[in-house]
Amino acid sequence: MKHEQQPDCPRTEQLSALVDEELAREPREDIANHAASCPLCGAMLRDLTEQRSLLHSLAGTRAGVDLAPRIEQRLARRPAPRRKAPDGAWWRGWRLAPAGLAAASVLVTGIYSGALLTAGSAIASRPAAMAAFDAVPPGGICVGIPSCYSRGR
Amino acid sequence: MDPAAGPGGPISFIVATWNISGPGSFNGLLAADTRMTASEPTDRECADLSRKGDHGAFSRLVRRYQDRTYRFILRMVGSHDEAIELTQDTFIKAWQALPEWRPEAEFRTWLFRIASNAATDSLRRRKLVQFVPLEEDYDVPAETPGPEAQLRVKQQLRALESALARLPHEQREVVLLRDVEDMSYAEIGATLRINEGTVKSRLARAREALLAHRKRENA
Repeated sequence: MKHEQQPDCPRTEQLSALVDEELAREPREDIANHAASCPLCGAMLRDLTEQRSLLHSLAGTRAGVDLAPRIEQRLARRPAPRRKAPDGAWWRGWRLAPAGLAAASVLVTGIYSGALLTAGSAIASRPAAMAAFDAVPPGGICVGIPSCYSRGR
Repeated sequence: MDPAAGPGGPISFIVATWNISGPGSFNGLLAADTRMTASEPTDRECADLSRKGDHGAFSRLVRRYQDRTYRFILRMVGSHDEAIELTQDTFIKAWQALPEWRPEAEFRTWLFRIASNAATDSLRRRKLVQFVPLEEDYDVPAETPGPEAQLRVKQQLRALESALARLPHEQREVVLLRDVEDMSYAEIGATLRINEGTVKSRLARAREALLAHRKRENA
């Protein structure tokens, strides 16, 4: 006989929390009472409980080797752990300030020089696909001199 | 509750006597694993000494947590060699990060967070999830009667490992932390830096998916 889920059936989340004893007293009693009378929820509760029991059997897995000597050997090559000093940490950042300023000025100079070189060379900087819409016909050499063009005359 | 099987019959787990206040609890099971004698220093004491550079105290923590860290990572990455390597890396990272560890934080959850990050990074690097190799032998509960019943329990555990490996890694880790490592929702939340509501819903989805995988495999 197939049992249908009832409107008052708790969600799996509630049944799962019931198995874990992580519910407050009142909902815990309500859900436990419901599960005792509902075949569907009762079966789910049994499945969850059985699965938890089976999973707990996996707790017997062992590494099969003592890692402490290996770890100690690795630690021997390292200095003792030290808390990162908060005092003066900001100052360490400022020590890099001259190098940062130099890098920034080189970058700005580079961008400025590049802009000067490309300024005015509209033909070279435009993509080839846009040439059809350009004021200068493809292959033309005049840039911005009106006398070069017939203007429909 | 430990798995138990009737002699000669299909494997069944005793859940009929499930009770909301008592036998459903697993807390006592792991407590035996983590219990320390009065003379042994606590995690906090060991961590405090380790922070001062005491290698002996740190080795004590390694021995206390190496198996748990290893089995968590093993089931996340699916390879023994990689799990051994990542377990060592986890402890090395923990050593380096010890000065940042706050004594009010539980050492175990803090360590598992490092382990979880190590496993997740490893999975991201290779961008695939290998299936966990099926173990040759499992520790079947001593009270499981008869070789046939023991064989069935072993088969169930193999199927479970296989189904577990098919879960998305976010779901797999909550199941491992809850059902294998026996962490509370609050501890899982602290380990994975997610809220308890997310732990609850993710765990339910994971368990549902796991049940579905297992049913499909059994069919």
